[in-house]
Amino acid sequence: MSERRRVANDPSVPLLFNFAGGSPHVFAYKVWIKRPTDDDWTTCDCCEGDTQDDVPDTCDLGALPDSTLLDIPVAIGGKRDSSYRGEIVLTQEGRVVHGGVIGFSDTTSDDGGGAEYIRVVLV
Amino acid sequence: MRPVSAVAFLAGLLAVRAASGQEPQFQTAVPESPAFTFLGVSPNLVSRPASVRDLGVALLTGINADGAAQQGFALDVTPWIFVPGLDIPLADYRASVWKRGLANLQLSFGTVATAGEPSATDAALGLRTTLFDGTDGMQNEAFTGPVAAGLRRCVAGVRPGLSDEDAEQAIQLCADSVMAAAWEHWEAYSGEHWNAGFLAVGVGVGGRAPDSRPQSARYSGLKAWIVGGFGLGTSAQLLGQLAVTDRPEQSGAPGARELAFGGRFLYGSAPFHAFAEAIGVWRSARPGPDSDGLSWSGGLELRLSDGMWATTGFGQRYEGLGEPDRIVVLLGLNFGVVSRSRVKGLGP
Repeated sequence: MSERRRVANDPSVPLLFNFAGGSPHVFAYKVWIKRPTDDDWTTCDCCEGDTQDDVPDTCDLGALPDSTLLDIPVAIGGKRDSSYRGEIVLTQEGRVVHGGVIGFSDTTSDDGGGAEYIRVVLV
Repeated sequence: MRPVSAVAFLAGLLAVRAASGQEPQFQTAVPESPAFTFLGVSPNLVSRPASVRDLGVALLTGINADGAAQQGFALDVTPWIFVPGLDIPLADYRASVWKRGLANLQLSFGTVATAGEPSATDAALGLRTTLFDGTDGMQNEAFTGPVAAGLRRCVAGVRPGLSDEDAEQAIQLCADSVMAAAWEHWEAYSGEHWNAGFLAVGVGVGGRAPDSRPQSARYSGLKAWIVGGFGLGTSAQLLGQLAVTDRPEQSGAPGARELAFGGRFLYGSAPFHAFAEAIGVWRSARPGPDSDGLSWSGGLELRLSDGMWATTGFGQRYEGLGEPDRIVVLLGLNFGVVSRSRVKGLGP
């Protein structure tokens, strides 16, 4: 299991999650949250979405304590063997937090599918 | 006159021979890799880098240790993905013809040994893009809507706590399954919408280096294509093409310019249709007189099964398409049975 990305966090301020596809593919994502005191993973209403619709892919995750874990599975669909790119941006009070820009890129399979799994720890 | 053409006697009355003996071909699509088309080659091994690092490695293999071009080099890339900070999200791809054109832009580059001069190299650079295609799934919410729903099920089905590898594998398997089904369904949809509109452009520019060194290369010609079509109702399609060729005088061969233009009308359905097409050509030989001409043909095609077509037609261009595999009589007409549609682009 790869090391989690460390993202700066102010536990007194709500954390905003933003997802942006950077290539002509369909991206679907879901944010899982595990606070240090939680026994299990939780999610929220706006924690899942896709880039196909006109709904903004922004979600207020609320104020989260340090050491909270975020797991973000991303599924990609598009033309076969095509290059895709996307970006997750985490902000607090309108500013991107340190380490809060998480870009990813790769190539879809010969069926046109792609997969990313992004792990974050708030520090 | 061949037996395949039940009305072939019309050929002598209606077909107007082009002034030159060389027939221009009706292009139903811009070549996938104009550089290779310009060079007249179909390379077995084409480098298709998807990262800046891979692109650098690929380019290095195109030059040997002496600084000369490697013959047999072939590269095909999507340039926009190498531009840092340039994003073309799905919404922009749908809304902007220019961004769609940029996203679909393919750059091809190839080198071959010059015929009869092994120490010289012919090289070509090609660009092609599709500005609009009614059968492009990514442009159509009828395709991306179900894809998005399927992919959402993929991410919802992955519980956190798996290893990176296991999680990504689970998502990948699910996404591949969603996309395989989506493309299969879309190909059936595209078949039903066989007459959807499209517009594509391409260009290939060549150079010849007598000593294979890039700095000694000289312009050796150009080919450019514009091909488009649009549907007329649900049963007809009108296609148009424009092709330009420029060849300077070189190695003792005379130069020439050619402008070919044509139109094709299809009526019916993908498995059974009537067609009529006309192609005009204007040629300017250097040195030599200008010439022009017009040729046309028409006919019927019936798909008997996958990979088998019954076809009959008339006109000079139809006559030039080669012998059928065998002859059958259908509807009182002699049809030639062939393995491919004579109307390119309508499937096997």
